[in-house]
Amino acid sequence: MKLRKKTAAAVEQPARGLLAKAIGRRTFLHGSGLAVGGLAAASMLPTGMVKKAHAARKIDRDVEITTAKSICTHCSVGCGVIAEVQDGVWVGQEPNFDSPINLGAHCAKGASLRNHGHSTRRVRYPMKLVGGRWERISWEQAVEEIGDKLLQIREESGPDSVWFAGSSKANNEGAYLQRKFAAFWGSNNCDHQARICHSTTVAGVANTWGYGAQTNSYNDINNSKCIIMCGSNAAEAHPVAMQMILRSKENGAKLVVMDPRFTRTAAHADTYVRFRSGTDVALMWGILYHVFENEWEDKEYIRQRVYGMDKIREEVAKWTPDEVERVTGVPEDGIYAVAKTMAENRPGTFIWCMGGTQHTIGNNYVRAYNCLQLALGNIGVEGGGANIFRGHDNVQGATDVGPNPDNLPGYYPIAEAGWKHWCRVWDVDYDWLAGRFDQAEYDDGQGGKIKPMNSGGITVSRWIDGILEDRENIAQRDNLRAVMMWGHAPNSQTRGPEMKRAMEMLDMLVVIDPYPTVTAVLHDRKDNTYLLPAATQFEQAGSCTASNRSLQWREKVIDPLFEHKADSEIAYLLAAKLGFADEMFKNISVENNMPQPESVLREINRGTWSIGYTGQSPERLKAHMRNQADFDVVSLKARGGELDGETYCLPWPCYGTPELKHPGTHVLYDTSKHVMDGGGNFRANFGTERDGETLLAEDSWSKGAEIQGGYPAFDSDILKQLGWWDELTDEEKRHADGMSWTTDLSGGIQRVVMKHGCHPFGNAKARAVVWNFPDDVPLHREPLYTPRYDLVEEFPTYEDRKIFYRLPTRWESVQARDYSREFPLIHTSGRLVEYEGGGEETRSNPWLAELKQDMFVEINPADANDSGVRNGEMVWLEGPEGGRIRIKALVTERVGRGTVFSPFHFGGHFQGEDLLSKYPSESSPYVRGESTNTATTYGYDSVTMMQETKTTLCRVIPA
Amino acid sequence: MPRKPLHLLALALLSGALAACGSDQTTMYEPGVYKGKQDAAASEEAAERRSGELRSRAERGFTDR
Amino acid sequence: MARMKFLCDAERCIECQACVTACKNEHEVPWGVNRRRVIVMNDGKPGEKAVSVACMHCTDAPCAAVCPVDCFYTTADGIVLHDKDLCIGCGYCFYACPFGAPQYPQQSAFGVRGKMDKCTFCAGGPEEVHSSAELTKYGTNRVEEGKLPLCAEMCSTKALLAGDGDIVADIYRKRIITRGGRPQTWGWEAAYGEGV
Repeated sequence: MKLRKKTAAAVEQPARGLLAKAIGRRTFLHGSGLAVGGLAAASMLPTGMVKKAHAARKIDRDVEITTAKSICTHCSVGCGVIAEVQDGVWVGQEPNFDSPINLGAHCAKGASLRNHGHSTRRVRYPMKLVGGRWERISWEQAVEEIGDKLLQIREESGPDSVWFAGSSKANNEGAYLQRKFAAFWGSNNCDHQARICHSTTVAGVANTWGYGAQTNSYNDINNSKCIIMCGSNAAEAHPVAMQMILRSKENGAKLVVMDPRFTRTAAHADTYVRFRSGTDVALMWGILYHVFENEWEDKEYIRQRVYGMDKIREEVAKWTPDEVERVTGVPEDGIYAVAKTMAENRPGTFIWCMGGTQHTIGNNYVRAYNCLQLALGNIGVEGGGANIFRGHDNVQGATDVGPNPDNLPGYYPIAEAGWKHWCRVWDVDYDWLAGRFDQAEYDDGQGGKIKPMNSGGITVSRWIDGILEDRENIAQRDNLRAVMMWGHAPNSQTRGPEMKRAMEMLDMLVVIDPYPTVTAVLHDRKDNTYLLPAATQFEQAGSCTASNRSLQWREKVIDPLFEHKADSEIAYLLAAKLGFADEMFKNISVENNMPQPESVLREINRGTWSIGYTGQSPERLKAHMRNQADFDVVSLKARGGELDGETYCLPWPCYGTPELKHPGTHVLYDTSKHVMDGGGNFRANFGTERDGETLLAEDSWSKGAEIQGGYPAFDSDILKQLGWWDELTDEEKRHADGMSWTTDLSGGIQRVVMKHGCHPFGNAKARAVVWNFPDDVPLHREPLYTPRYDLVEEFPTYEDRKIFYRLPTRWESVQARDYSREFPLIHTSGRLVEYEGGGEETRSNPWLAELKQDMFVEINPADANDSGVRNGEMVWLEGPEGGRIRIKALVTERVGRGTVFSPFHFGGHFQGEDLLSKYPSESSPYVRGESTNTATTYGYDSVTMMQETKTTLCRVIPA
Repeated sequence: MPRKPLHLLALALLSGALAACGSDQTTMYEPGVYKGKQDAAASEEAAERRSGELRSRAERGFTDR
Repeated sequence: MARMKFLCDAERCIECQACVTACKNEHEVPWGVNRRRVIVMNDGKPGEKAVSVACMHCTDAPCAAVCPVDCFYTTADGIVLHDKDLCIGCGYCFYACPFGAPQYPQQSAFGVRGKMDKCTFCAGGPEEVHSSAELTKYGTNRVEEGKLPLCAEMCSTKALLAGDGDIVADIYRKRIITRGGRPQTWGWEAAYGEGV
């Protein structure tokens, strides 16, 4: 008795010593609260957790333990994973010290991957809703019923009435087959997370200098002297990237973090700049103002390699320090300090993430960042670059070769030429494929008509409007009637209440995912709703492209649990049911319904000449994974060994055939290297001159190029003019004649061009002015829901458009009303380190879920006092479109006055109601909470349809 | 009962008990000395055997390659 | 002979919790028991610092000094372990520990109800090496395999270091020389009675 009393007393004691000083976010959000003592912790368990969480595994030391190498599935850094397997069970996880990307390191998510190998929270077998209850069905029945329904809808409303969300979490092979599946179904209505992640980046940087990807790498940050992070919270979103960033900082690099929120990344910065959310363009022009004023720009670099900087200079001149302070809230000395730091510490790298992309003018933000880097001569150099940290583990790969509504794998256009290219690769008749599509023509939004085969499909950000919008307003035959969420969380998209309504209007809703996801529970559907268990990436082999463009190969760790199937197998089963499997898998080897990943990758290799996904054969990638220890951490180059001189996992572009042995490209557009050594220059993709001014590079070329100056992209005609044609073999000539570097399936044009030291895509200037975008020079425009309505007249948004990606899209009609008095706080959202994306998978992992058990909103003490909100109490956060969420208040100075922040990973609650009873039994995540996007609002980027999640308005009131 | 025999009895028991303390079958309580099961892996030899491996593991795992 | 120590480099710790989940993963520590956790000071304010804390395996372990049943012992390489079969879950060690390391599961999880649980430096406990008794009561035994604690081996930024104190201090000192500044070795002195 006595002893029990004493231990009980310990519960009430505050922690002592070092630990007592800290009452942080975690102790506040109970679960890891040492402040209340270990004894109390167990009382916080969700019901039944005690028994479930500690089923200690058996490891038999007498039975062989094998290891498999995989790649973490939780972000784009690409951390190497070593899994220990015994008797088909994943029993241990070891650090992969050899990987030059992570050197063994992981974040909370990566260090808990093994749970995926035995999680019981997954969807175990196919299920469907019958009268509102989940019932188990067989795979055969599921494929049969779903297939019949799809065919019926196709018959009644055409192929475009079905919409597919593919996945950035599928491997390259799975994502590629998802795109191919949509194509053979006869629609462009497919999309994936990249739309709402970095679509504005991809469009912005590709239109500025060539490729829509991170120019350098995480590792190359070690070469930087200055690191600017704007709208990137790598400490939570890309934690292992911080290893390189902090190493670089220790070696003297200056770290500058610009963010409306004092993030955990900001905690490590030399300089932190807090500014008003939604004003990045003004902020960039404010920095450039000082650069130009002090003549810190790289004049020679601009002369040789940049088009249109003068026009940028004219716009920047308007952004005097006073004007910048008026709009962004940052005083002159803060901006000047950043400009001076960047000018004095070159090369400098510029890192941005969702904070810079998820805006109605996200493409402007991206191009403003680009202009700043171009002015300083920081692109195309080691240590410089636009280090865009992508989100999901394979979002770069899925963008490159996966389910995009507006292009084909390798960014080939959905215009006829692009389709014809892929039909040759796929070895199918173009007319047959074209016949799979709806043949009618619809409004193209630019005063003309267009066929659905050639018009960009409905995006991830807008699928709900494909259901909700009046049929006559949509540029396709009918509304969406069936939606298939193939590896996609719906709570990562805005406008939750409308999404619920849209889901309820569908004829059929299908979830293909390891976990039920919020799609299973948000709506009140009773029937025609299916859950198909998809395997994780640890249950299949395949390649995935990290943010730095390296294609790492995953070995299969374990067989799929329960009745899970790999994405590729599901694609095959559905295609077979729908009647196009023979055409779709014509040249792909399929064993037991499973398309072989090596075979799929070889098909990708045969078609993606435009971005150099051609040299990365499965054999080469596997050799790289075997020899990880040979690669240098800073340069990613192999030193000695069988891969001497190659770059780790052949970052694209890796031009030519695998036999050509291009080493991959570590730093894009780097003229200091020979093109066959990964060198390059800016891409000639926009003509050779404009308004009498050349668009080609002047007095600049990559090392060893025989054409010393600018030149256009290569095709067979140019080769003939140059007298290089006869260097092609007869076999190559047969394929290459009349073709360009992107459509010559032999790779001969690329081989010969590179032999002469030239770059297949030409040598041009980067475009500071992108004349084909709504704002050729990036302009500041106030967000649709702005707290500074007084600035709207000066900085208005765009006019509404009748048709944009097939849908009416509003800008000025939303901005027409001032909400700032009723909803005075800026609402911005972001990541937590413990969870990923919609969070269902990670909230189902007890090792992670324990660490963050409550959805919350960070609010400044002043705003909390104004609203009568107390720390730790429940509040309602209400958005101007009527969505409201009941969450915990975390009063903190992390956010400035006037701004609140909430994480977007939660789901399973809806406007105060716990949806637990709607989950299939035992498949609910351990932690549920309100989805922040229930309270977010309308707003889409003017080029890519990116959703606005970083700047909207709200009010917070005690619950 | 007279009181003296009781004293004598107590004395006899006490000397018996004290004598027992000296025997091999009795454990003396020594505060601060580990009372649990022996751990073979805690020995000098075990620590010596693995020290080299653990040192190189630290070098490999924690230095910035 | 090697003397095992932990060191957390606060300049590198980014509060990512990898150490916490690596520990959960390796030892399947039950929900509610945290052998390691990340402590944040000045959360959300300039000067925000974090440090990862677990049992430091002190040179002169205060827990052992106060234990009424003497269940603590120190291995020859300096790892402080305890015998759960002896532990009575009294909580004295929690009071004595400057790091708040001891944990007490409420229900049967590791051994019997209420026994103290803490970081083992991934070195198991007083049971046969790699036996199922060792695994269920104390977790895996990495040290015996020549490996170091998984929390440190998986640290996202190599902030958390573990291993022979001389090597750990050496790696840390080199960082201090590279980046300048004063050493900030949270808990090192309290645990080991000396500076780095």
